[in-house]
Amino acid sequence: MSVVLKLTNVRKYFPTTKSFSQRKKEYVKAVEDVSFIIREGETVGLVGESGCGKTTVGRIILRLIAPTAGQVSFRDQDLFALRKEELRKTRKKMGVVFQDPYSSLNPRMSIQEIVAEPLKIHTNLKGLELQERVVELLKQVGLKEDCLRRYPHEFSGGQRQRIAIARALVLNPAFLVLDEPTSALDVSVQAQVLNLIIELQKELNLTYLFISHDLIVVEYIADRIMVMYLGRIVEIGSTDKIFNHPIHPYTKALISVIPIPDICQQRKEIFLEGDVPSPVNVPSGCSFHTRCPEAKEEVCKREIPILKDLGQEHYVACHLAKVES
Amino acid sequence: MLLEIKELETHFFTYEGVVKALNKLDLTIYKGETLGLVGETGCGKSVTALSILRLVPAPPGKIVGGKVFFEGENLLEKEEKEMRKIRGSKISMIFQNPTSSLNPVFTVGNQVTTVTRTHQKGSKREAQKKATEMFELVRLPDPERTLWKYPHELSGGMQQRIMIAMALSCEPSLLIADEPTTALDVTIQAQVLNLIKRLKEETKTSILLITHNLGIVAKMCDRVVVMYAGEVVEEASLNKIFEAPKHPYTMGLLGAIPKLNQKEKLEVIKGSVCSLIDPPQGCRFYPRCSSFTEICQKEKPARVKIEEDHFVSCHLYNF
Ligand SMILES: Nc1ncnc2c1ncn2[C@@H]1O[C@H](COP(=O)(O)OP(=O)(O)OP(=O)(O)O)[C@@H](O)[C@H]1O
Ligand SMILES: Nc1ncnc2c1ncn2[C@@H]1O[C@H](COP(=O)(O)OP(=O)(O)OP(=O)(O)O)[C@@H](O)[C@H]1O
Ligand code: SF4
Ligand SMILES: [Mg+2]
Ligand SMILES: [Mg+2]
Repeated sequence: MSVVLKLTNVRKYFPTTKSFSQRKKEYVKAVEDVSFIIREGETVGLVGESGCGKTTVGRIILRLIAPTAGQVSFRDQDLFALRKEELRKTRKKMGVVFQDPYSSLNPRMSIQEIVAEPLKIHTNLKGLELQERVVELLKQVGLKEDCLRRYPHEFSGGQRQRIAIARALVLNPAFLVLDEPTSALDVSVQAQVLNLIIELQKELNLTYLFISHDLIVVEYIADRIMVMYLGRIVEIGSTDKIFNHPIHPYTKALISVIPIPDICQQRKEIFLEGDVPSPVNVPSGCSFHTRCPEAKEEVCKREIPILKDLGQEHYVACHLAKVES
Repeated sequence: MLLEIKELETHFFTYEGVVKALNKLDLTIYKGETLGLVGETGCGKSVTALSILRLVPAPPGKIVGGKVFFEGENLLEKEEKEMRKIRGSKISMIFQNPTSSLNPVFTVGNQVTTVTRTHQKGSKREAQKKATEMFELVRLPDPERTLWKYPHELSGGMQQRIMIAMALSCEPSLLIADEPTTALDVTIQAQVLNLIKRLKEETKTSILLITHNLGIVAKMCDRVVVMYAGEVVEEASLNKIFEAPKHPYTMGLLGAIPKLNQKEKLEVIKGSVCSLIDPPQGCRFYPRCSSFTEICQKEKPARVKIEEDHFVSCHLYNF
């Protein structure tokens, strides 16, 4: 399958608005040296704890913010070197659905206006044609035509998320960033939206970057999973590898403590000490060494581990990871 | 039996109408158990907790009927003065959001000692010693120094541990924990849940654990109560809820969450939760139920005991 998206050594630093007496400027190192690819038709999960940089990666891909360093290419085109006309074309191929269905829809616009807005900006569709496309989309996400003239506050969380999905799909994108699309929803409604996301992928041959901190949902939906810690990707692998044969000590701990909704599966939990360090003062060497139960070697404090290829598309950034021959 | 709620009714008198948040709720908590209270947003879990403590905001809220027996006495008949003694000493509560439950202008040590000194005699020095012990118990790093910190200097996980220390400092016989880890990350959540579990084993406190996460229920609870739209629909041991659920809503919930290695499509409960101002006649779940019959629309199903320690409110089991 062809590569849709490729990130190479992407970094994003945000300047902190700290006290003016400080002479040295400080930075939140939100994303550090991130590289990965996503292939056509895949669902790739991006997981990690709050503040590890997931949304920032998503926003860079969507070109909502510029990276401090590194390249992002979409179908072999460098997103940050495109000229205006090409950029417009490329951008139409990408869509996004955010977590919060309450704040992501403009409360003063009707559903018709919300879904039609990107069409008005990016296409020449007008009048009846425009309306037809909107109705078609609403049907696709399981909403009825009578929604058109209603406003976001009249809908439940799950319905609003359907509206957000319709809007994201209106320009026929090939790739969607789904940033915690079901985190604000109740389980019964989450199931409806997850099923919809899966069905749409099959129907429209979509590629997904699925960002979430709910590992069970990611296990269910993703083909491959990337695990982030303090701005870096520490492990990439198939869903099976990440869940059943994790290598990185952080992934191992993370997977071991997920509360599983099943009473038969009692597992040995690995508890991490302490809290995640601040992304302003990232620990030296491997940024996980302060909490890592396996770190004993001096090298962990000193050297930053790079992502090693263990074969079978399994990559791990840990000094202890061994490449099998 | 530690706590027994009988036909509890709590309403909110709002501009739009009367929100019947709890409708004849029955619930029992035994000594030394962890009871899970589960259900989706707005089903009345927090209102149940607030009603037990008589902390329902009034107006608009009011407990309009029912009884809450705690250690044999009806809490709803107590003077407010007596209730104040019970809260924080015999029954204490941890809330979802530690940041908003700690006072930002006082050190955490000050807040913990204030709580212990309201309920227990002793000098300030003794209270501080006790607080340090509690901080050690909840595994806060450097307890003596932590006493002098302000809430904003501590992470969410540390704040929640302080809330737990505070809640347990008077050795309550019932601890109500309302979504105690929802605001926390998974690795921190694991630490906090583990802590609650360990403390429960040591102190034999009963716990009412409110959550919408069935994974947490599976990990922590001995028994489970499932709520839907202000009513209890099923109550049983953890094993029975997970392996032999009886109520269509309980079955629906379990089918809607992904399991590990699940390949099949998720089961879906159609529609969304009903209004509590104008709930359906009969069974409140019937508009979403896939096995409803005519009687479900007309009559409220009675609570049926189908086995020792397994109760269901559904017409399918009403013979
Ligand atoms: N515009 C900004 N200015 C300054 N710092 C920022 C900005 N956006 C994000 N950050 C910081 O960058 C880090 C990564 O944030 P990001 O939102 O990407 O995390 P996340 O993994 O999506 O977290 P969550 O799971 O909570 O959504 C955080 O420390 C955050 O505070
Ligand atoms: N102060 C209030 N005024 C009006 N209605 C209220 C008030 N507090 C609660 N309610 C209503 O009572 C019902 C039950 O609310 P409750 O907070 O107990 O839900 P919950 O089960 O705890 O939900 P969640 O999982 O979202 O915390 C809801 O329909 C809510 O709208
Ligand atoms: S590199 Fe060292 S510190 Fe980092 S995860 Fe591996 S063992 Fe732990
Ligand atoms: Mg985010
Ligand atoms: Mg609540």
